[in-house]
Amino acid sequence: MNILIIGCGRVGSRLAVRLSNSGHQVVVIDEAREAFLRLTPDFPGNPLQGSGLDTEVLRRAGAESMDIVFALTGGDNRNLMIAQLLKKRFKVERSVARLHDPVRAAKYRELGIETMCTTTILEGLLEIYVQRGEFPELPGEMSVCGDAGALEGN
Amino acid sequence: MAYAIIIGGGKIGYHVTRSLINSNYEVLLMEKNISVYRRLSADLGDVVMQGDGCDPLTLKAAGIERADLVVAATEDDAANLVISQMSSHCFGRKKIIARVNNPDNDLLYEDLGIHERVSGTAAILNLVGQKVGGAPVILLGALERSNIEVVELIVNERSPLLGARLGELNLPDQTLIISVLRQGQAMIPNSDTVFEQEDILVALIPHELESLLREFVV
Repeated sequence: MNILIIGCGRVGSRLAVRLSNSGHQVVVIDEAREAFLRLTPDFPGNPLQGSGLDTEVLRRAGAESMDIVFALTGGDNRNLMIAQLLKKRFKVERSVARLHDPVRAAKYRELGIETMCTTTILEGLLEIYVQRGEFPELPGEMSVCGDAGALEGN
Repeated sequence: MAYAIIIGGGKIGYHVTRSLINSNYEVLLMEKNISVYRRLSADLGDVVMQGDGCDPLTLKAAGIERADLVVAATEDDAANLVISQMSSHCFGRKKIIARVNNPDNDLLYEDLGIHERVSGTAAILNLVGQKVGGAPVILLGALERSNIEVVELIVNERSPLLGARLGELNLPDQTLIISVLRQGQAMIPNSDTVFEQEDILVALIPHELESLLREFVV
């Protein structure tokens, strides 16, 4: 699939590497060039420096042919604006905004914007921990307790 | 007394707040940054509240459910978008005005249902354009709730309008010349009006045709 990731922070960079390693075509956008240092040296995807709110940058990223867009910048409002911009201007059907605020996340979902909320996800995991005495297993190689692979250069 | 909530205590938010207070509004100015908040509240007193206006819980605490007017006046377009959308969809507010900092975002706001917008940057750009002059078509303003613009055209010695009769002109569709200023006198043109050098024409035109009109008169 063609996947666009906006924001090459911890989540954006890891997701970009993971998805391109499993064969997807990934473009990752960030305003700061240094953010791309988080990608692996052999990252097969396409890093693009620029603002995720700039339609010209999005056009260069091939936004209109994307199957999925993830808005993963540090700001809830920016992610909401990016997700709406891609849906409205570039007709991307699956445009997901990552949010910290559960209220905004729920309200924008009502408005037809796909949101995922880090707060409620963590809250759910912690509640499971209280009930079962351990965290649930995540699919694939993912782990609730982190992953130091990047340090070893894997 | 009508209640207005202004979000963002920059220059615009500050002056809008003062002007609404003078117009007998009950006003609340919300500012996120603590040091800006302190400065504002030393000046304006209890009218100022510290908080993040993008947070629906904070908006609720500010009494947004009874607000007659919400002004999203921060320097961050994404914040103004979210404030406007939350005010409308979460709290059912009808009268919302959003500040647009980057003129490129103006159309997106419109598409996303934010109809009342003010853009300081666009207004200044437009004014600078008028002052600098020389442009064949100068935007004077836009008519509220429509895509119609009021533009000014100056007939100079190279203009294809010079010596032309209005009735014979092949202007872009839906362009209406409403007034001609000639030697300080305004007149309403008819199809027999012939344009002279230094005439200033005032025309109404749909926004999307402005570039066509520009090409036409250059």
